[in-house]
Amino acid sequence: MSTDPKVQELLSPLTGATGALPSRRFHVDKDAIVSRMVEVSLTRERRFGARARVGAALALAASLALATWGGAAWWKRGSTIRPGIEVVALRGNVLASPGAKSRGLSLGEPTTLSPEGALETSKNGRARIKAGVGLEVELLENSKISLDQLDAVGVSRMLRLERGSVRCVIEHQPGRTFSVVTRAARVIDVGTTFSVSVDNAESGPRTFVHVEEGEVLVKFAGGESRITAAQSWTSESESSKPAGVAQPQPVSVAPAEPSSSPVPRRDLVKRRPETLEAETKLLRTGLASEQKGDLQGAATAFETLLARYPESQLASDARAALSRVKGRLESSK
Amino acid sequence: MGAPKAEIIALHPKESGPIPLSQAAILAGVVAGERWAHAALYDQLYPVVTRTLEKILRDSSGDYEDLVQVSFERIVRTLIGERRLTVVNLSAWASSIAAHVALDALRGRARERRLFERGSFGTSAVERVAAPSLERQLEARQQLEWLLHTLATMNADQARTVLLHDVLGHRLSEIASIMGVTAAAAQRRLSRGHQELLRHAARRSLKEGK
Repeated sequence: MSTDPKVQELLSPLTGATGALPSRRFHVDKDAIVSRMVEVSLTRERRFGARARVGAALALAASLALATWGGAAWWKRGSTIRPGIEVVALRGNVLASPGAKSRGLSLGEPTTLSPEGALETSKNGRARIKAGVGLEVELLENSKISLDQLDAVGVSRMLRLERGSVRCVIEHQPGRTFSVVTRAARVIDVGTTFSVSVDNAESGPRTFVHVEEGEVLVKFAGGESRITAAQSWTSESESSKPAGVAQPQPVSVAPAEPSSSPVPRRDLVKRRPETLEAETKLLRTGLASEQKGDLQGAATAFETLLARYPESQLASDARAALSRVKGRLESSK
Repeated sequence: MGAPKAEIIALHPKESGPIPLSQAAILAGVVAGERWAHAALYDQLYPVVTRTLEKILRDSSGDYEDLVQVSFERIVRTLIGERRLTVVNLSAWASSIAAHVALDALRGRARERRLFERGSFGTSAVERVAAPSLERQLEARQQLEWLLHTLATMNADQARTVLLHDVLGHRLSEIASIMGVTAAAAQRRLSRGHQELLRHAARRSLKEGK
């Protein structure tokens, strides 16, 4: 403290009354701050000092001018480049592992990643991935994907789903395909919106595919199957031959059957089309509600499906989804 | 110097139980970009950072959370920067960074010309200045506003030195180390800071006809 009494007096509003400082009334989001710290420590910007930044800015300006001039010519020659993949962490923890190191992504901030390594979400985590034009993937909670072949300009783009769920919105582009690969199946889009989940059940991991719009081709050990809008496909276990393939059915909108109705038979060929439609609709409704965050609505839809169609081919998926949703409901209490 | 004593407990993600971490281990982890190390650093420095911000800004509302984040960003940026520092007293050093952030915030507010309208170090601040009567309260409030405004407009290094020395209680040798100057230079900055404060006060008295 200064020995000058006049200075002491001038500073007294800040030096006195320290005991009267308020308790911490504010809320500081530790996770967000730590994520930001990690991001700062990983950014390359830190390697530049103030002078270097000025130099870098000039160099960047020159590079941009060159790139503008040369880029078009290069593009016309058909050269392939590997542009980045834009990832936005929507909630929870989203971890990118381009190499040996992992880094947490800041919520709400678009981050450009090179198409390599893995991306994973924590419990309650969610991320949106954009890779070039016409490819948008939502990575749901507790999921992990490999980005290695998600090349934004490649002819055949591929996303490997290690665990969890993804929802893909794909714009069909002639001559280009996009596929999601799990240990049991390869789901090839034909211009569509679809979801793929890997459920690590006790009996073994299962793959579940649900198509919202358009059409996908599912290739698996036992063959391949085309799945169109509102249809689902599931593998009983990835360690065994996939069993259930929901065959395309004529759309016939019928009210859901009451619980007293006869139980539909397991054999899909003999199943009444309207029953399958209703089952799929319920599962779809549940999944859509879950994605929107309406967990109660999702649980109701899955429970209805299980109550009305206990023998449904989709029952195992509904049970898995119901268990997941209930878990989330429990954790949110 | 001997091996650093375990100072904090942090949960390493790869382990099931809490592991005591030394300051050296934390700093090495931060340089390596490890999340657990950043979390440990945050836990260790959070009290000193928030206390410094509170003490200078006298307010925990408004953009306070942002200032906490900015402080930690600067701490990390400086720790891993090209001019790698040898931090002797991490808490004192973090406090100086937070003081710098607080001073920048004051300058920003002054620039916005909202210093006296914001109420961010107005009404709420006056509650914390002990005064027996309303008149004394108003006087104390004006005095606090004037001081914050003066600190925001005077030379940044001098203001920071005054804050570190007179408000946060750091020794000159610490300040010299923190600011990367000699002890003599720190002393000069402090002295000039005091003179500047006194000059502002004299000008104010003249203006008010005292």
